[in-house]
Amino acid sequence: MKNYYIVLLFLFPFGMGFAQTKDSLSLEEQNRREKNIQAGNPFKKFGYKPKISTLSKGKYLEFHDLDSIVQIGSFTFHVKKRVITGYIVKETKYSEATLRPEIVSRWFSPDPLSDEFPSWSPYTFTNDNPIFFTDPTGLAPETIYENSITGETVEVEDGVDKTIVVDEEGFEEAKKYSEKGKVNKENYTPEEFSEYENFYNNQLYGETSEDRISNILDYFKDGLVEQLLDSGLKNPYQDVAVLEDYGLLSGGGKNAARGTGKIIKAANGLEINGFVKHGLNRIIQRGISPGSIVDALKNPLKVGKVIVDKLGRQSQRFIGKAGEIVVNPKTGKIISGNPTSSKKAARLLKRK
Amino acid sequence: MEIKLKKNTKNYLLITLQKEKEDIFLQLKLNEKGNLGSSEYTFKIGEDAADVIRDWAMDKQQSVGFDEDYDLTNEGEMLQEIIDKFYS
Repeated sequence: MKNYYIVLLFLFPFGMGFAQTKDSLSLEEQNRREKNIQAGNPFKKFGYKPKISTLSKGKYLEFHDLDSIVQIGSFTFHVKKRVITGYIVKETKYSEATLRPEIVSRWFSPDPLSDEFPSWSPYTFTNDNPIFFTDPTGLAPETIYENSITGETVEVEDGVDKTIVVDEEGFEEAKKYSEKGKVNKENYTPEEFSEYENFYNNQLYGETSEDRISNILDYFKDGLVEQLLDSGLKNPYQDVAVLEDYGLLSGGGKNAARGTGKIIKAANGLEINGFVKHGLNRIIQRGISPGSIVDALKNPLKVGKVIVDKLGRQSQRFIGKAGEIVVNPKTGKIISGNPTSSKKAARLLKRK
Repeated sequence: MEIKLKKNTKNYLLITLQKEKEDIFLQLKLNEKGNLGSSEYTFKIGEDAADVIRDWAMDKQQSVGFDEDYDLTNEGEMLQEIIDKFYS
């Protein structure tokens, strides 16, 4: 009997402990936990409350996705009736595609060709790069070869969105590639792929060194190519191509890729459309990258005052993190460029 | 920093600065050093002052450095040398 009392004496504190834990929950907490438990009750609408198994006894919500209506992208969808019940207003106003609130747009479906480009999201447009590429057909990226004499076009599905003006011979060759189908491993052997790559580059930049120099001369018409070649650049053609891709070189001669007519809008609204010879020469010689130019124009750390020269022409300096770009605001041409000194950039950044 | 300039450029810089930025002119003049056996002149100058001169040269080039075809004038070429040499 004495042992029995000793056992009871030990059990009493444990019992008190459990009782206190349950009672110590506030009414509000008890209701919250009950609500979490009842979230998993399939008979709630019939007023029946069976015992629901939970791991946390209602401390955490353990039941999810029980709503009939769920949000999928910019739609709300009834999962049982399988109908669209509404649109999300916010996304119709703040278009992800354009980032312009006044334009309402929405991708209605994934790209039907998405299976062929598994590395790209099915909702991308022009390889996520609308500045560099255009997509006139809406199909897979292709190069359009345009006959310089007749204006006829033929498309080759090569994964590059470009339009190249070619002569008669180049056009006939492009036709053959077009008929061969998509430029991929199934249709092309590695040798054939290499041949097409050569053809593409030759049509874009010219087949021989003379052709290439002649093409660049078409751009500049003033012998700048000699300075370009003497400037120690490893690949002046590539640099020129990059500049062209930024839309900074207008025009385009025989075999040259067409400019897309892109204009860079500077921070103060000026429209920049190209270079004068000295400006282009300077930015290449001083190694100011196209990215630095665009950054200086669009996100300047400082915009200088308009200076009028002795011939009455205006100029204005845009000081960026890596480059200082001088522009004629009347013509929209870049007339000079210099790298920004690191100390000056740091000082202006701090001030900003 | 130490900067070497051709004689013509050095003269142009000093004469123009004397008229337009006297404080910087004095700093340069005090630190001017002729190089024996060379037509170049050397200046010792702090990075902040170099930045001021470079900034001034860029503004100056905008106003007097280009001819009607936007090629550099003689003055423009000297200013170009200053812009490049005072780069830090």
